[in-house]
Amino acid sequence: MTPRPLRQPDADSAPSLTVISGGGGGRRFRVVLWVAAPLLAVSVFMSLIFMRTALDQSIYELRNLNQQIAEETARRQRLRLEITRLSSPTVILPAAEELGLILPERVVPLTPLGLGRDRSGDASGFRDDDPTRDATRSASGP
Amino acid sequence: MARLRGRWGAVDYRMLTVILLILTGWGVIGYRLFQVQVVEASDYREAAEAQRIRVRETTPARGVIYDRQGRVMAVSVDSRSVYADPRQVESPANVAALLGGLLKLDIARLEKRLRSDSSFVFVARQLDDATADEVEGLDFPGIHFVTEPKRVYPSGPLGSHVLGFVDVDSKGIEGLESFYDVQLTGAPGRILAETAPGGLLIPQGRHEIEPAVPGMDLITTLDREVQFASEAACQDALEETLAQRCTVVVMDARTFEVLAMAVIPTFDPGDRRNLDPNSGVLTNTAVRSVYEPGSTQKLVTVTAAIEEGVVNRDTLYLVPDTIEVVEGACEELQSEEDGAGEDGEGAEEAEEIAGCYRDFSPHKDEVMSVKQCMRESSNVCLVKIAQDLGAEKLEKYLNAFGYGRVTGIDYPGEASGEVNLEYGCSTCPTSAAIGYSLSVTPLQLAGVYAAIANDGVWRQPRLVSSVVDGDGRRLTEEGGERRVVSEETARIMRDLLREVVEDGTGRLAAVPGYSVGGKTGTARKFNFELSSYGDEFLVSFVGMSPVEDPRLVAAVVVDSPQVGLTGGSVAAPVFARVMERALHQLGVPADA
Repeated sequence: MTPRPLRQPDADSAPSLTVISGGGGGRRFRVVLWVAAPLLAVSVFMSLIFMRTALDQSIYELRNLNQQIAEETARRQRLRLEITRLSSPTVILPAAEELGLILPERVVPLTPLGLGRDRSGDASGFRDDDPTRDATRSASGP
Repeated sequence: MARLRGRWGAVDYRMLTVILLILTGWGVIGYRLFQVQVVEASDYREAAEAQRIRVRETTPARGVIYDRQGRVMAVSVDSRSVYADPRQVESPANVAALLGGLLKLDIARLEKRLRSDSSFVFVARQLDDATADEVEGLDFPGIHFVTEPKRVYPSGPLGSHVLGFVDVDSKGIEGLESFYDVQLTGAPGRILAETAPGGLLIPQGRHEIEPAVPGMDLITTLDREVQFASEAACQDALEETLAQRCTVVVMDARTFEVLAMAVIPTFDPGDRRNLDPNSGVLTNTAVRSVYEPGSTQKLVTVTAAIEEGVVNRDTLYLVPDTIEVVEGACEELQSEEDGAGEDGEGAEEAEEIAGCYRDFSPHKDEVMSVKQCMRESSNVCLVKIAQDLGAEKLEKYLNAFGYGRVTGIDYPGEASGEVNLEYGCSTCPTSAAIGYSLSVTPLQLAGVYAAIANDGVWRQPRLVSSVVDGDGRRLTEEGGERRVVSEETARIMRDLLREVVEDGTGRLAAVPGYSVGGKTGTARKFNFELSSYGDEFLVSFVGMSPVEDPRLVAAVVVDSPQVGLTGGSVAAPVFARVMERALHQLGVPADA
């Protein structure tokens, strides 16, 4: 025997029910939101820490580089000073004397014809001046 | 239970009391917060910053002093200074003994400082690198280092009287270092940094830098090689003649720039520990010491007489070896000399009798031209010329040449010299004509001869040609100039000076290959303690080369030589040595 309802449902009196779709999806979204938000916050926080650490590291490296520059500059300064000191006649002359070098007793200026004030000269175009001229005479006055 | 019924129902007074207490507590906290965060906020902020913020002044680099060829004469370099924090020093006695020995310090004094209550005491400043390394190697607790600038003079004593020196804090206290201290010093900078309690810089904290403005550099007119030649020649003269002091000024005859200013004995400006400041060794006698020039002054007398048309180079004078300006002065002088004992004491006094002038050597009456008078440096002839010229005109030219006032050279403490031509003093003009009764500095006299070398135009001498700022801009200040005599008179005077060297008293000033003109001078040295002339001399030679178109002028003054007592025998050879090296150094073509 076929079962049948006792009475036919009245279409007009049927409750106006609606189907709510996606109820499980919304729950998942909330779960994801609750998980993702802290993760995002933590990652942002970690990124900030990482960036600051990287920046600190760069600053320390920069400071070290500046320190190196200062040291090298000071070294260059010392070396330049040493060059100046060694090139001073007060150092060169004693060093030269130690090596047996002496200043010439007589310096002979050679003036090519056409240069200088006095145009007189020998056939070779050079004039050999006598530096001992007058040098042996004694001064007689004040 | 204390519960009443009221308008709003039952009231629990105990609850009310608790609520009031809580509210009061929060109110107090709120008030305090307001006080701290708003009312006293700035004070707390400042206090916090004072703990974290460190401000350090940065010392500007002191300017470099160069010679005219760009060679460094003075420069500042970083050096290490040792300081101690006595609170951290564990054994002051031991530390003082070791450091004192190493640094050559008074051990007792050092120990006393190491036992002081201070947190900072200097142990030694501006050490050389080797010594600083040794001290650092000892690694004593409480002994630390700080970097400080140190002034270094790479050529040691060379040019020390011109350059001067600085104190331990790099402040110029003598010479160019003092005169140009403001320009050389620059302006200090500032570093502001946020630090952790240990002193470590907070990397991303506040960090502000106001850079120091470095000092300007000086380009001097000195030539290191000419300076060296001058000092070497002076040193030789001192050793050969046993003189007290030797001064040389070498000047460019066109620009009046000083190429060398040598004073011997000299000193090392970088190491003045063993110097006696009262010994006078620090005095730049070229600028600060005055002396009676003697015969080198005759140039001015003859120049004035020629310029005024009183004489020309060939004007003749009958010249005895003695002339009397004050009646009876020579008779008195003779009687003093006759009465002098064997010790010569009377003769010395006789020299002081004014109004009687004598030539250096006795001679018969001679007819001499002005040219010969200069060549033989005849006092009697010059007195006659001065009498013809007159005191007023002589004074006019002394003023024109700058006697009695400073040249205005860029050097501190320049002496002005003095001209004593008091009204009513009958012997003053004649004495001034031969270089007495007035005083000059070697620099002034070099300027007088440079004016003749420069066709009669005097210029203000200079030691610094330009100042260079941090941007490389050269700042140059031109000195004043004035015409003193005509070009023609200057040319005639150069000819007369040439004859002095070629055939007169200045033969030893001759420079091989070059024409030289100049004048010797030998003056008795005034003894200020005895208020009279003693038996010591100041001998000098001032001249120029090449004579036709002078490039250089040099003045040499030797104080109290014991061997050779004339300018011609002592100062002229020094001039020759200096001038020869200087002419070669500057590449001046030979002309004779």
